[in-house]
Amino acid sequence: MTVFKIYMKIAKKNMWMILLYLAVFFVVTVMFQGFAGADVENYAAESIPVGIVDKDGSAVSESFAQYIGRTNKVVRLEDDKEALQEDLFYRNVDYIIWIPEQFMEKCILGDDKVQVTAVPGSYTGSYVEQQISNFLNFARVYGAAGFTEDEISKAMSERKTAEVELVDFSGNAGRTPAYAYFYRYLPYLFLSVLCYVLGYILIGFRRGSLPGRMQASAMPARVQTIQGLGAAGTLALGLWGICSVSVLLLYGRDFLGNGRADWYLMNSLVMLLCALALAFLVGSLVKSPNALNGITNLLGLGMCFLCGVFVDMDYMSKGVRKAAQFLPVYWYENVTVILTAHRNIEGSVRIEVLEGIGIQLVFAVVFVCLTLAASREKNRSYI
Amino acid sequence: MMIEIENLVKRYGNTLALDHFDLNVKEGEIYGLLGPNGSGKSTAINCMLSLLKYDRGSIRIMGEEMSPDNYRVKSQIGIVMQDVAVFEELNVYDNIDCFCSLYVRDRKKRKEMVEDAIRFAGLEEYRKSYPKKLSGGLLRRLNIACGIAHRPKLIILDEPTVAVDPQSRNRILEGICELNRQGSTIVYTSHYMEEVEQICTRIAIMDHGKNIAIGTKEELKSMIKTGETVTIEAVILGVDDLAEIRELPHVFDLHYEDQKLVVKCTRAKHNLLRILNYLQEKDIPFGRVFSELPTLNDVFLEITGKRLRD
Repeated sequence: MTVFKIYMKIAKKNMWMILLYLAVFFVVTVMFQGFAGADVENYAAESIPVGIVDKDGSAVSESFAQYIGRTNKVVRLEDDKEALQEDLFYRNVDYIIWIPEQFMEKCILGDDKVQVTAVPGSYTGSYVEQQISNFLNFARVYGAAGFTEDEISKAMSERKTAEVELVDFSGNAGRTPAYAYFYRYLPYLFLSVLCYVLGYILIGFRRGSLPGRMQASAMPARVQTIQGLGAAGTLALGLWGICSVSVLLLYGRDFLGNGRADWYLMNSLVMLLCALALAFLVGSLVKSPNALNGITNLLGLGMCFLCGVFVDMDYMSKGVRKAAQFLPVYWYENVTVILTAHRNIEGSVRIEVLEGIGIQLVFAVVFVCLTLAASREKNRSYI
Repeated sequence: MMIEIENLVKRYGNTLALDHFDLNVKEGEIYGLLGPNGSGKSTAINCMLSLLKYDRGSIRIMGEEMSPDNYRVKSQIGIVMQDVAVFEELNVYDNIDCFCSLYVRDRKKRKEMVEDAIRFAGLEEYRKSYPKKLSGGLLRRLNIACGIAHRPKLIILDEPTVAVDPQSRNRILEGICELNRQGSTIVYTSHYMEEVEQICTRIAIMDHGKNIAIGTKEELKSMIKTGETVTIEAVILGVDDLAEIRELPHVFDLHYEDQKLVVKCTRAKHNLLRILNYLQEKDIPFGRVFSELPTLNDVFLEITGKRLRD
């Protein structure tokens, strides 16, 4: 197992780099997950203190006050200009609504507007304005239909918010689960670590006359190749294992209970194969560790930016999206998006997922063929 | 016979690297392949090791046809490449162990062999050092240790002393003789004639991809006309004097420039004395005097008309 051991020893020499990439990956994942999750966690309907000066005192005006009070805190105020200004100044209320006398005639049956005053620079007033507008629109419809004041009041009091039937295809209640972020950024880790470590090892094996010494040795070239592939596979599977165990440790119940864990794992495994094949191609072409560093960053970051890992594909132009289709990470991300959006991977969804995974496998085969062609070109002088 | 090469032809495009090259190395020899850069030494070695395809000819090592998959023969060969071929990421011990393990599976036996190789190369103090921390000489010694740790029957060393300080060079040459005493047959390529002369029992001089002379150093030197070269400094001679010296017995060539006279004589007794007697008789004063026996460079010069390091 000489070649296998050499692979492992050289990989061990790069352990710090592997750990660094892992750390960057986990930090980026947790950070993005935090940013994206924050919006969802903090969302709530805005409730503001609204002062109402009811000069009408009718059933309709009362119904109007109650309507506004459904989502806001209503404070009844006297029509005292100084007192009202003080209330606004001390922020006892953010918004004041004057309900005029003959509210029904002027504002519902007529075209008069309801007089309002808001705290200068406050944006929350727009929500209240929308609610006022909603009430008046409905009340005007009832009024036009010949409803009396009491009937309008009763109808508006009984009016409920529209019921919406939410069909949750993803099973995530409209939220992106945390493990989806983890799988989204995984290609960056795979590409960076495998391209760097394998590239470094392969450069080591090609240094100076080493290929000659290895080929002239008593160990058959076939055995050397098998051991090398075995070592590379072990390293790659080790990386995948670390990631999979991390998912289980971090999101265990959520991840296993989503019904798509096997698909996520399969997709990431195929992406791993792709990254491994690409790493062999890079390692067989790059000559120096410095160049390897540059190319690893270019491939890792470049592919991830283009293919929607760091920036959603929705923000990309059509041209970029078209170009990204020629990269395996695009198809990986496509599958990840589908898996996040659908709880049941069946029918056309299943076909789409399998297509994505299949295309990644095709990319892996292409990379292997290119690597073999490059190696053959380099070893042409050797038997 | 350890190595039998017959009629080997190797072309790189239109360049003929080996031109019907023949080589016969007997068991127990230290066989030197001497030739200037580009004469075909490394190509011949690479063909021997099946690292290069060749166009014509045959190579037999230890009585067997050499081929890329003849691992039985390969397991008996140790190679030391012209460029240092070690893993920069492994320390001295691990490097030797790694290359030894390509030949020897038994861990206990291998450990013993690696320790012997470390002692042989004088790398005891550097076993934990990485190649980048070693000097050029130490690196060359590590390169050799990696090639010989598995105690091969045949050791092929391709210019192992290039860019090595004299102290390390002597140590390497002594080591090669020691390996030969222990039973290994050595094939040693170099363009340093002094090294080849110092250690090789038989020598092939190569030029333009073929052997131009083969034999022991004595045999090679006897192939040429020059038996002795006499050099006399600070001597003022006229045209008549030079003509008379040229007529002395056994003198076949002379060169006079900047008051320095170089006389080439055939193999004979008292060549130096005869020239000095002439100067004394003519009362011609002179400075320092040297007498040199022919070197392999003289052999090469006389056969090819050019110097080894041209």
